[in-house]
Amino acid sequence: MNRRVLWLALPVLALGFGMGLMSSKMRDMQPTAPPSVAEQPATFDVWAAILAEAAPLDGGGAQIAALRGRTVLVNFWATWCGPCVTEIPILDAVHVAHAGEGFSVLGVALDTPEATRAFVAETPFTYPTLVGEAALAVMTRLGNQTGALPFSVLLGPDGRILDTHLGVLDSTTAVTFARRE
Amino acid sequence: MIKQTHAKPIHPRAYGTCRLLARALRSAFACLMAFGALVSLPGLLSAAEAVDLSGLVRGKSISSPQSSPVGGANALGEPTVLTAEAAFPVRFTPAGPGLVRVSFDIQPGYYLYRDKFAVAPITDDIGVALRGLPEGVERDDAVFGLVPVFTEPVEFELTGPADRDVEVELRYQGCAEVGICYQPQKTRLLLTGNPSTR
Repeated sequence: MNRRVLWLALPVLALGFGMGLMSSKMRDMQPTAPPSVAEQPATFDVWAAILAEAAPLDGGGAQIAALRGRTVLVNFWATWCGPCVTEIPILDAVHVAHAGEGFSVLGVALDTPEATRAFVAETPFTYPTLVGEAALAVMTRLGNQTGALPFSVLLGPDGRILDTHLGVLDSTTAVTFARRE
Repeated sequence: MIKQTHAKPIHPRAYGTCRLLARALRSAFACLMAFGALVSLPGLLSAAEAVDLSGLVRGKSISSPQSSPVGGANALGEPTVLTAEAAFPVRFTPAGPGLVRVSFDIQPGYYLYRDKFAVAPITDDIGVALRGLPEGVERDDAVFGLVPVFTEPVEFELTGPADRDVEVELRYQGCAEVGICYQPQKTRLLLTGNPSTR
């Protein structure tokens, strides 16, 4: 009888072991899975190089350097994008309120420098913004295949992508982003 | 009344052979199960790893361009949207020398700005124009105020010189009701002329 139980238990144990190992592997996979692993910039320096290449506007290089070690919400926007313009006051308020906590907003406009400068002059906001056609390529690398705006990417102090958001950020989500570590 | 049956007694040697055979079958079955489980494990793991992880950020999925034909929102509160090409499929039909009919099939939940339609020649400074662009409907935009838009299929014509070919660029721009906009789109096409009309 004992031997029969042993023979029956063996395959069950083997299956259980296999399933356990598999679920453990899948559990490990989920939280660490980055977007397009081969392409994802992993450090602040990589981000800084990409963003600076994409769109320096009025001293953009210096603006990016000042963000080292901070949590940065990179917001892709455009002057022709109504929802993007609607979102700016929300982002500006969060940028100001959480600047002392190591958080900043950085705009990246998929627009012409002329249109962006004119817009910022007429509707000023406090966070820095970059501009340039190359910004579209950066946005695509971050997983936004639709080319739709607004699109936001939350970068941790070490350059890791903490979150992304397509569409207008509401105040609650924006504050949650500002408090992420 | 219970009917009794009388089975023929089994020979001790045959009984022993049967037991040995049964034991061998059980062993083979157990080994087969264990082997199957272990062999299928790497396959299961690699299948799990083969799941497309692009777009995942710490377990979060960015909205798929094709996940919803109509604007909506995913479980994370983000809009699920089409690509601009899928939201605004366009068809060009030659309608005569220097004339092309343009048909936009605008998907429900999406709209194109009337004022953003424009056409320009690629190379020479040759007169080309949009003709018959409908009025559209007025949209009360939170940022831009009252603006004419197209929310339903729209047709118009592109005109150029009748006696020569001209490559032109058609520009247009639109948004989705869920609160996203697409960058201005550019499409190149040839307005075919007929030299014999010179």
